[in-house]
Order: sequence, then structure tokens, then C-alpha cells
Amino acid sequence: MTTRAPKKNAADEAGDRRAQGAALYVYCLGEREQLSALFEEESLPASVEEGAALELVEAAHLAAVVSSVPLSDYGEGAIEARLADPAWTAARALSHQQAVEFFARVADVVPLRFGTIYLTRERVAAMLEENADALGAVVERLRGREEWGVNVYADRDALKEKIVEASERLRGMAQQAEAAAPGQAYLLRKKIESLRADESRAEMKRVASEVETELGAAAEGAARLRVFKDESSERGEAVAAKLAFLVARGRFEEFREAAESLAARRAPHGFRFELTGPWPAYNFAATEQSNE
Amino acid sequence: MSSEEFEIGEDELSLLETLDHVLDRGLVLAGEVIISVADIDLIYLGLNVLLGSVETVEEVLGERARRELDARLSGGPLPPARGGAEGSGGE
Repeated sequence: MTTRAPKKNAADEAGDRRAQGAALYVYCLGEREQLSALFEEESLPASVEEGAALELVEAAHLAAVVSSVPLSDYGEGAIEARLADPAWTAARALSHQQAVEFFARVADVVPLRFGTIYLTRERVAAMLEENADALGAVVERLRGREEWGVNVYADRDALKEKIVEASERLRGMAQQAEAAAPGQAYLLRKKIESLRADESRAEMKRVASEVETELGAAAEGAARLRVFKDESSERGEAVAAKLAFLVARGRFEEFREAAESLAARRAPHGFRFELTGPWPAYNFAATEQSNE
Repeated sequence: MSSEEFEIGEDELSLLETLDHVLDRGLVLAGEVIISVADIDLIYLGLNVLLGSVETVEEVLGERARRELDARLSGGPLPPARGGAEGSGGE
């Protein structure tokens, strides 16, 4: 096991790393002062690769948390092949998250997407220098705030039932189908089915908008996340919407109450809400604020 | 539903949620190694198959990932909380 002295001369370090075919994996960045204090005082979490410790690269008023990774796994071309192996990816994604969480819990950090690789410390430092203003603005925007996820699930059967109950037209068609001759009844039932599916989708969209508006009022930012086609919950419900909110720590109770109230109101219509978090602000880390 | 089954459901969820956050979101910086994210759907597909059960996770991910999972579940740094909005969970 190699130990890298953190205070080692930067030029030597870069040379050593290159000689070993190593690069730097970047986890998150934040204020130099906050992060360097943590590196001095705390025992740090593991990095994505066993045997490599977390390190800090400092430049301007910022610092980035990094660790050494082998280019044979993380180099261009190599990493795409590695990512195709779910076991390899999942283990490292978990380590990435744990490292970022550790810092997000006690400092104001900007989480990076998995797999941000630089070849040398100098390049990381140059990136911090060059983007110091924009990155500093993101750190400021995230200060004292956390991300909370809201997943909305729909019980398809309960929702469809509610929709037929609520729609006079569908009720009328259902009665007609019962009285109709077999051929016509079949066509009517097909039409009802398709209308119910349309209505279900529309209702899910309405609920997603409600969540965004009502919970957004108790948050500093909201983002809609993509839902994969045919995505289901572990209970087999349809995923109606996934949203992320940037919530000030001091406003969390207000946010939670808004979520509970909306969940209670929507439960009779077949919707179930789930709150996850707190997360590092992955969905609000972009340098250009997209939601205001 | 036994409480044990319920726990397993929760673990899977937080693991998938974690992967979703880390792989698809977060600040994108132009690193020196440019990773093509075009295949992210395929990665998810593979992960979904892999994460069919927590036993599979232990089997396939091996000792290290299992330790990491244990750390999360035993209240390691910031385990994703669940519930709350249904009036069930919440601290």
C-alpha cells in the first residue's frame, strides 16, 4: 500500500502520478477554508479505489476533494468499458456518494457527477482558478441548503377507478357497453380503456405540477427529474413523478409539512409520496441557475 | 409484510436512488478524460438487473460494497431517510 504525503511538492507529485499511470478523480468542491479544516481534523471516508486516500487540491478561495485512480480503469476508452459492468460501477458510485455526503453534511460543497477525471493536480487547480467566480457563486447558492427528493407513485388500478368515478362521460360509456351487443361493447370497452389511460396520465401530470408548485413554495429551488419509461416502484406502482427540491436547513419542517399535507390530500386518489434525503445538492449544482 | 422484507425494500431503494443521483446528476466539469454518458440508460438497465435483491448485491459487489452498505444502514454518514410524507417515517 502506498501512502502519499499530502504536503509533497506538487511537481514531484504530478510526475510520480504520471509514472504510475494514475489520474485524479474529483468528488466535490467547496470553500478552501471549510474543506482544509476538515482534512486536518476529521478521519476521512474511503476513496473510490482501495489504497488511495482522499486529498485536497487548493486554489483561489476554493478546494476540490480528489483521489488517485489508475488510468487503466479511468482513462478514456477504459472507463466506458468499466461502466458497462454494473458491479464495478455500483461499488464506485456508492463510494463517490459516501465521500461527497461526508463533506456535504458539515460543509457547503458542490457535488460533481461520477467520473470527473483530471490528469494532474495542476489541472485541477487550474480548473478551480479559471472558474473561481462561477464555482464560488454555486457554493454561495447552496450554502446552508440540502436537496430533498420527492417521488410520487400512482396505484394504477385505484387511479383508474377514481377516474371512471369522476367522469360522467366514462360512466355513461361503461353503462352503454353493458347494454350493447357484443361487437359494439368490445369497441366501447376499448375506447373506455384508452380514455382512462389518457386521463391517468393527465392526472399524474396534474399531481406533479401540484407537487412542484406547493413544495416549491417551501423550497429555494425545484427540479423535475426524468422518469424512465415503464418505471415502477418496488411495489409495482407507476412512477408518476420524481422531483428534487433545494431546501434551506431552517425551513425543512415547513417543507415536510407541505409534503405531508399534499400526500394526505392525494392519498385517496391512489397516489403515494416518498421523501428521500437529505442529499448533497446534486440537482442544483449546475453553474448556471436553470430554475429561476 | 414482515418488517424484514420491508427493510430490504428500503435498502434497494436507497441504493438505486444513490446511483441515480451520482451517475446522472451533479456538476459536470470538463475533466481531461471525457466520459461518454450516452450509455447511461444501459448502465441503469444493468444496475436494475443487478439490484434485483440485496443478496445479489452482496454476492456480486463483494465484500467492500457490502461493508459500505452496512455502514449506510447502521447510520453511517447521512443515510437517506425515507417516509415522512406518508406520516410514517421521519425523525
